[in-house]
Amino acid sequence: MQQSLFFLSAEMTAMTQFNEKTLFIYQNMQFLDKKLKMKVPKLNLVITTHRLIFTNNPNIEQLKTNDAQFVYLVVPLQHIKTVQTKTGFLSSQIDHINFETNLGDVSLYGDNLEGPLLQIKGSMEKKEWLKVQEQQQTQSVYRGLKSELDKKEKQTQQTIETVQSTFKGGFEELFKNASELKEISQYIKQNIKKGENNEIDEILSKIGQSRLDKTEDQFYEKLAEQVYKLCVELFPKMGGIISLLDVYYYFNKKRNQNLVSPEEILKAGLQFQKLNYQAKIERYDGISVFESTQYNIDKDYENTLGKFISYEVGLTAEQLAKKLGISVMICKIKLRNAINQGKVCVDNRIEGTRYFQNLIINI
Amino acid sequence: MQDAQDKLELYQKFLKYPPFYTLQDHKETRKKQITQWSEIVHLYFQSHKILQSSLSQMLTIPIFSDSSSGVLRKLDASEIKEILDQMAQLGSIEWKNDQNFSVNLVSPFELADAIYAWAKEKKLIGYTETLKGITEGNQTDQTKKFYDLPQEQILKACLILEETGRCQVYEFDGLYSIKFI
Repeated sequence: MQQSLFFLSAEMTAMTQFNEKTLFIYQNMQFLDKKLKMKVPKLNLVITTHRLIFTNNPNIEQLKTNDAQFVYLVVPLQHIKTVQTKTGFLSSQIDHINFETNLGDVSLYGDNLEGPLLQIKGSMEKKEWLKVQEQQQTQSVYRGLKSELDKKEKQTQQTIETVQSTFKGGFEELFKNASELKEISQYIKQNIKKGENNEIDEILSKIGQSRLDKTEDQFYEKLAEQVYKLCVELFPKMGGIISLLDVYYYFNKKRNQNLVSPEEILKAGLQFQKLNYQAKIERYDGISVFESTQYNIDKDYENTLGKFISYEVGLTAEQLAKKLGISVMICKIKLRNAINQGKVCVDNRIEGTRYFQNLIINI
Repeated sequence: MQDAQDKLELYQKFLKYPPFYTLQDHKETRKKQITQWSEIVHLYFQSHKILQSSLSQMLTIPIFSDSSSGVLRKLDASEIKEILDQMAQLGSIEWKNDQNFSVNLVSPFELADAIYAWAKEKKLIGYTETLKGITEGNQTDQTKKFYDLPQEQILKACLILEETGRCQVYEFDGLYSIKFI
């Protein structure tokens, strides 16, 4: 009778590979060599990081090399090409698992195969056997693309291990270290359903979040309130006009996730009039800006551009923006306003546009 | 005289002002700018006694460009055309076609007054004079505004005099004579 290729002696089975660990032992399994149509029942399945060992040795963990009385069928994980599960007729439970290997096709039969399947797939993904090959390669003088890929994979593995070790004790362990955060979330949970609560809104706003228990209109109204607060802070520094992009940047600066999009900020800005806020959305040359309702072009010119523009020396928009500490986009809007008021004249030249105080109209 | 001097200084100031060479978008500023340009160009025509010109010749005259700051600034053809159109509206020039125009160094009304005043001075009231006689005759001289002007301009001025009842214009075989009344 032809012997199965998966038979190994005790001596060979006992020879563990570098870094090989036993993960789990399942009892009462059956091994089928499809080529020989040989089925071996009542075996223990030992799943290690490197192999599947089918044996009737009850003390596999204390395996001695001269244990010749027991059977050992070994399937190296690195030789498994595909893993397929088969369910029973009219049943969703796994009936058996088929393994296509380099040495031939085998099947695993038994009750409750879900656990073994997960363990086997997990071991196959980790590819612990590759660590042997990597160490051998580090000794070589020349490093090629494969070694770089292996190095990358090693780094990924280390990251996974670090994350796994963090969650080693489960969530209970984690929460022991986050007692303050837990208290805050408990407080919010208890009070959030009591309706409007400014303290909760303040806490949520500081961590860049907004309440979810609102309709879309309510959301935009709340967002409008927060955006307006920001605008009121920025208007004095920016001269009464802030671009949508700047508001988007400053509003999201304290968030690191769930950023509010420019469209949402714009929609919130469109609520200002309805909510009687002293700010509005304006469009200049297709650019949306937030403008204070108290923005006065003449006063703004005196306090900003008027300080730097003269009859004799022309300045570009970039130079003016730098002097005023505002963006070029906003500076150009202010210049356009000043031109429309007849305060500024334009000198178009080959090296760029320069702006002068209006001499023509003042004489 | 002081007025003329002040105006000259003003024009010099504008010609040294860089944005003057860019027609402004602001309506009021643009209107004033074109008016100033019209006056400057008219003064240029007067000082150089230019009676005929064309758009292409205008592109070469020095007042429309300035390179004093090291960067050449100049008005382009469309902008110069806009200025000339304004001058045509004011009667300072007359378009002959798309390109060419004649220059009225003095306005027809001003000419008419000057001609009639001269006729009175020379005791020509009731007498007839030819157009050539008015511009180049013995009784006229270079101090007169109408001296050596094209006959079309003199005829126009005389037609204004006719309308105001100060002369009668006769035409025979393409030749005109004027009887001062």
